[in-house]
Amino acid sequence: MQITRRDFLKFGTRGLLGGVLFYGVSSTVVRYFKNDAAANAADLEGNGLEKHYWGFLCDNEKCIGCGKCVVACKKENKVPWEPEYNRTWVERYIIKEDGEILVDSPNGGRDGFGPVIQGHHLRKEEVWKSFFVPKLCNQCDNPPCVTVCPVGATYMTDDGVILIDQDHCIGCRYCLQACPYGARFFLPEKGVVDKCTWCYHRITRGVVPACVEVCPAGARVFGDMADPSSPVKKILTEKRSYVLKPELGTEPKVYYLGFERGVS
Amino acid sequence: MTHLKRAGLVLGILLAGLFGAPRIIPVPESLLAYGFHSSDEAENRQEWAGKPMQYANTSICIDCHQDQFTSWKQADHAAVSCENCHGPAEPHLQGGAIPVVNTGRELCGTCHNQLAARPRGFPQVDMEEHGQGECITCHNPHDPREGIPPEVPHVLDGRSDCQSCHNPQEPLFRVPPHVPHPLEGRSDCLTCHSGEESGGTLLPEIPHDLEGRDNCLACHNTSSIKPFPQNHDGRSTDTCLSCHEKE
Amino acid sequence: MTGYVYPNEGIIEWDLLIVIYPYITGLVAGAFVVSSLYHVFGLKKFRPVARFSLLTALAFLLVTPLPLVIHLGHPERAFEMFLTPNLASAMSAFGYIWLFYLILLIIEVWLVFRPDIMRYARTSEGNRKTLYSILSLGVDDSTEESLALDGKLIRILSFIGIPAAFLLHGYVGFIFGAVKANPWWSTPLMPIIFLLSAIVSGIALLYILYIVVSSIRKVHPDHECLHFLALWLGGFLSVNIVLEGLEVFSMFYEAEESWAIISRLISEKITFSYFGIQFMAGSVLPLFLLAVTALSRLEEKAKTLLGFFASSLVLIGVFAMRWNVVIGGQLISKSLRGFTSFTPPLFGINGIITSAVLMALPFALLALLIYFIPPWPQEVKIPESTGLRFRGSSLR
Repeated sequence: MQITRRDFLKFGTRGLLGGVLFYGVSSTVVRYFKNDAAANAADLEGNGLEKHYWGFLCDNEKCIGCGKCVVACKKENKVPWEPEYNRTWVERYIIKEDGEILVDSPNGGRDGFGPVIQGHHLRKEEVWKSFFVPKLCNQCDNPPCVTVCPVGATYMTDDGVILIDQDHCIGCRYCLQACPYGARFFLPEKGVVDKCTWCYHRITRGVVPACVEVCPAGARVFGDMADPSSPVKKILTEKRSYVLKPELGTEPKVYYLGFERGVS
Repeated sequence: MTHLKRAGLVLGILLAGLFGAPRIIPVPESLLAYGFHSSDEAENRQEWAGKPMQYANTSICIDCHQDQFTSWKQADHAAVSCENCHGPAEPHLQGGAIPVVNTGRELCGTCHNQLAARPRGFPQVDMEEHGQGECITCHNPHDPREGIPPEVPHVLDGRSDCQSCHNPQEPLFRVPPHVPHPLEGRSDCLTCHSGEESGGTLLPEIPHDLEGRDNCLACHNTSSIKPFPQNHDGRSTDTCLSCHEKE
Repeated sequence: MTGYVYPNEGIIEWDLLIVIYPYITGLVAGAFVVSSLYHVFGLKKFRPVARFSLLTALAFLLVTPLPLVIHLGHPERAFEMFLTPNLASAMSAFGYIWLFYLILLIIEVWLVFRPDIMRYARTSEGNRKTLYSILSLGVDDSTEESLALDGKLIRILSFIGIPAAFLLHGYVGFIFGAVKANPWWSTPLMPIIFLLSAIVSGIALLYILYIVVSSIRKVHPDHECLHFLALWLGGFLSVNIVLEGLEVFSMFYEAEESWAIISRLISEKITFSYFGIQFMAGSVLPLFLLAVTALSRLEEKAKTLLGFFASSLVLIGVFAMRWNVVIGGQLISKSLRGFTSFTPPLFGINGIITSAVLMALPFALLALLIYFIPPWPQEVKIPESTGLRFRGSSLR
């Protein structure tokens, strides 16, 4: 049997059109019957759930390394105690007189710190500078973790917080690889990824995150960068701040005071 | 040619089944999940706001625990939230008992054991040398300096007579700040220390909110807060604001 | 653990399963390239392995998604990649690329083997007859025109298949290469390096399989074909070495902040598998052996033996490369101050045994495919029902 080019094209285009039509009709039908979420949202404004633009400040000069923030976060967000996962943690940096930098974070700092660092018990004369650096998810404005999620389970809200839909996450852990700050971790029990959410369930109710709430030194400050009277905005207006790994272009929103060269 | 037509048909059916069926057959919402982040932002916030909180703000504690609250609020540990030691408030608000605080030395040590990394001026002790047994034997956890005489924060050489600087009526008053520069060529203080250009050393501004702080003397009476200068004897609270502007 | 690692980095999350995945996909790409060299570029010397390489590609392609799916925290949600992909993510492309390539390969295999299928449908009986009839879609049309049409389609599909195969494996390289957070991974060369080592491993696999299967069938392999395979293997291998070496040399030369930890990685943590296996045993030595086979005057059998040995080394070397990239990259802490450690467990879903089973699965599938649609038409014989027994890889 002869097949002409015309036949081939006819067959091909018919198939293609059929497919497109089928897809279009079926998805329109489905979308029509789906619940229209937007209609229900109309009465939510004015309940304290207006849009903000959140910012976080960590003051390395005030942090005393008590680790209460780590404990509070674990209790607030039901983060497993074992194995050691942390939505937030505290690092200690010791810069020795000879320039060597030692860093540690025993159990994320949740039980405080001890006199031994990386196996060394340093004498006072050996230490040039030393300080603590609280760490948490930086909620980057240009988040590499959101880009790499294959199913879009992690997303950025319009107030700048990056959240994970744990009903959608397939547990491929690509976002763990993509985060330059080590803020994400995998929950083997639930088979999904988790991370610090700046206590989104609290801040949408006008309450500060748990770690900010319990910090006894005022080293963690939280606020609305869109509100000029918020503490974060005011402090950042007065003081110079820095962010972690700015060269990667992630545009983190956790600002650090008292930053030091060598902190990563 | 027939074989190609048939092959095309088989392929078409397979693809339609693969991609079309999930859009028609009811599938669990979580799999299709058109809603997760393309849903309305407000609805997303609503959903998150519905999740339970564990930690509350410490202003809740005063509703029932006034005594402890007042003594705590006026003392050095006012910066340490109740929930730091007593655990999250939510289970207690639901009716559960507050968990018993582990009053061992480790709890106090997480903040106060001596570490090079802690900021200067933060009270630290060498836990090996400082006292023994539980810290609360000597220190009231809500007011840790209660009954404890404070250390002398300076050397005692050349300072035999404490009263030459310290007013015995109020021994914890700080010595007036010393002049940090030589006085040669500087006879008239006001050429520099007058108004805004001087950096405000003349009349310190009030660096904090005045809400809930009607009685200045409640805090400016202890050693931890910047105290009254010596020449402020006898002044009453209602006159503070007539000179000190709120920032 | 040495130095300082972030608290959340204690566990390597992309483990052995993610090491074998690019290995398996790579073999697909390599086998398909050989087949396309015949079907598209008309290199007649590859004729003996052309159909066989298609079957190899198909067998390995069918196993490709398995390590990924069982690695997921929620394998049952894997279909979300089709339904709600985030197209900004390289990984979201996997579902579509794999599906597209699978369809393409199945159609091509079907078209290439259609004459055989129709012949079996005519000559066999009982269940087998039904099977072959279904496979031929009930059409028994071996006219010149239909076969010519098939031929044209095969060429078109092979042609499209080359970039598709490149995409299938190149996107894996991009998944790693585009992660700026990991200095060992982040380089634009990564997709190309992955692709080249994939082609290299595919050719090496075909070399070995052709010899093995020929010895099982008790026929002599076509030495000219093998020689040609070895030539192409050597060519791709030399480019591969250059690129892999260039990547690390460039890092060393530029000496960015991350070079301190990377130099420690390759000099302390993965020294043996990197310099020892990947470079020396897996690239330089095989290249030398292949050069000997190409340039010297040995008899055919000796050359084939050397080529066989070289191909085995290449296969091991490429596996080491996947290990060094995937595991090595995760050994470095993102604090750039320390390393974690990793020993794969023996049992468990991400254990060595599971991975060994997954690696053996494509060979089992290949055996099945060869059983039903043998790629060498001249010696077509319906095998006895005594089952298949493989007698190892001895050359006879």
